[in-house]
Amino acid sequence: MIRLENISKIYGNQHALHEVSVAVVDGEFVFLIGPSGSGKTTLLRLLIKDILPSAGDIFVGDWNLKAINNSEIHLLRRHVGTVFQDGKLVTDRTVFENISLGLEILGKHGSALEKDVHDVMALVGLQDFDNKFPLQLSAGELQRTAIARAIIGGPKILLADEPTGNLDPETGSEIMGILEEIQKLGTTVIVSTHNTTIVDDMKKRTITLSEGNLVSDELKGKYRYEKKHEKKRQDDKKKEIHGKKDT
Amino acid sequence: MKITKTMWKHIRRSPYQSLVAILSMFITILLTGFFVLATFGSMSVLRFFESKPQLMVFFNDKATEEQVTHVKKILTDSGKIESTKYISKEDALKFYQDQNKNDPLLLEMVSSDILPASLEVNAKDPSMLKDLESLVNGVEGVELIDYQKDVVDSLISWTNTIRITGGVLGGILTINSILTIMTVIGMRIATKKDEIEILKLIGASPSYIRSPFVLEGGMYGVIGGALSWVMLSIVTILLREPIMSFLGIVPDVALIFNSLTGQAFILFQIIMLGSLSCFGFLLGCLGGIVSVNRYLR
Repeated sequence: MIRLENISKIYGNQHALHEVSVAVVDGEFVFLIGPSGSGKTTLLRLLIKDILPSAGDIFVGDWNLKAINNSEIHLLRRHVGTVFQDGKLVTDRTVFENISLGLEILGKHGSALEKDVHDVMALVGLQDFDNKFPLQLSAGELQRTAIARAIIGGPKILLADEPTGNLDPETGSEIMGILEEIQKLGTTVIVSTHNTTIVDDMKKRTITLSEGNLVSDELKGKYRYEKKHEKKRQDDKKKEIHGKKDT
Repeated sequence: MKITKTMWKHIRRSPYQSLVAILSMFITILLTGFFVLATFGSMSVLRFFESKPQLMVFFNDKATEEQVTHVKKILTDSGKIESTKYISKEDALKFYQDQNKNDPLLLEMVSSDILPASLEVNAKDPSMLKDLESLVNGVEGVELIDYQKDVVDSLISWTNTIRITGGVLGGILTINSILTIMTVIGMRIATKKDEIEILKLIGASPSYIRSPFVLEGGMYGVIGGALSWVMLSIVTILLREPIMSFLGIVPDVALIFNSLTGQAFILFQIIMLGSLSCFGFLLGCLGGIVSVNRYLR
């Protein structure tokens, strides 16, 4: 369970977030949408205590983030996997080594680590990429690697910040498919994006932010589109009928 | 194991920085090691001289038993002596005969009448000898006071000089080494900034991130310490002959340098290697810790 209560974040004299309150239940898939500068990334960074809120409380699982001191932040981050738009991969390590980092930090090594890494690589479709370096990968493959590293430690929550930002629509859909698969395995997934096509294609809960304010929190996607198109069809029909009457 | 691997990777990837760090550690540990050895050596020599009777009070032929007891009392009351031993004229003759038993001519010429009775005095500290001398000088019955003033004084002076010079030089070089390690590790941290940031974001513990850097500093120290040991071993082997001829009478020195294949010499080398490596490791780790605390907040 993730709970944000009246969260505000101010940079200088600019409100990045203004009294935002949101709750996400375990195993949910949530989109966080809004234009650039709306506060999506700020909200995600707050959830891993990369930055501190100016006001309000954040609860992630059993943690009250206000009460976590600096020496415990790493424990929170093991609980919350993160995927960044640029992947944030270590360039002088191979795909295998990058993914295994997620287990090495937990003290795992040897054959158990190898098996887990290969299992996750298979899950994200990166078989046979063991010895490739990040510079040899396409944008989609980079994101798959980043996702694999984020989930290999078995986090309860996965945050993805603009995971399709650098991808073509087809690859973007594939990445979203992987994230959906991960959610089906029981992980809470929060995806920030400004790609409304992807949001509309998936029937998921969508939180909309604008200039740091929570604008809406609703179920969107095909359902909304069908309603919208139906309304448009009805309007067209009315116009057509009125037109015939006028003539 | 992974931490060790990461540390070796750091060292391999910037060999020149590593070389500077190792050289700095090598010079520091070599000179510190040299002064420590010199201090222990001179202390050992000083101890040897201290173990000998340090002050001899010779009595004239007319000295009475009361006068001897009075001198003994003055010395004991001063609180500056460890022990005294009275050597009668007969004891002195026995001692003389023992020392010259191979020379019948010398034995024939001497009787107990011509040898003076004396008091052997061991001071608590050689620096008190001068005070003790002035206490009994001129007391009735005392004919002559003798002590190895020059030898003991110069030994004390040498030991103090070595200790102070070694301490000051060692201190300066230690600070220099810590600063060098700090700089090298600091540069390493700067080049690994992105990787460190990633590790933090994915939940690596502070110790997981810091350990390779601290161990890297420690490894420079161990390598520097081992190289210093090699150099000091070569020097001690080459100087064995002169050391034995000058200081062979000192039991500790004789024990170690008697044979290069002897147990004592091998043990001495092992202790030296262990001490220098440990000192280097601790020094390097200290530099590493200072650096990560400074640059990895």
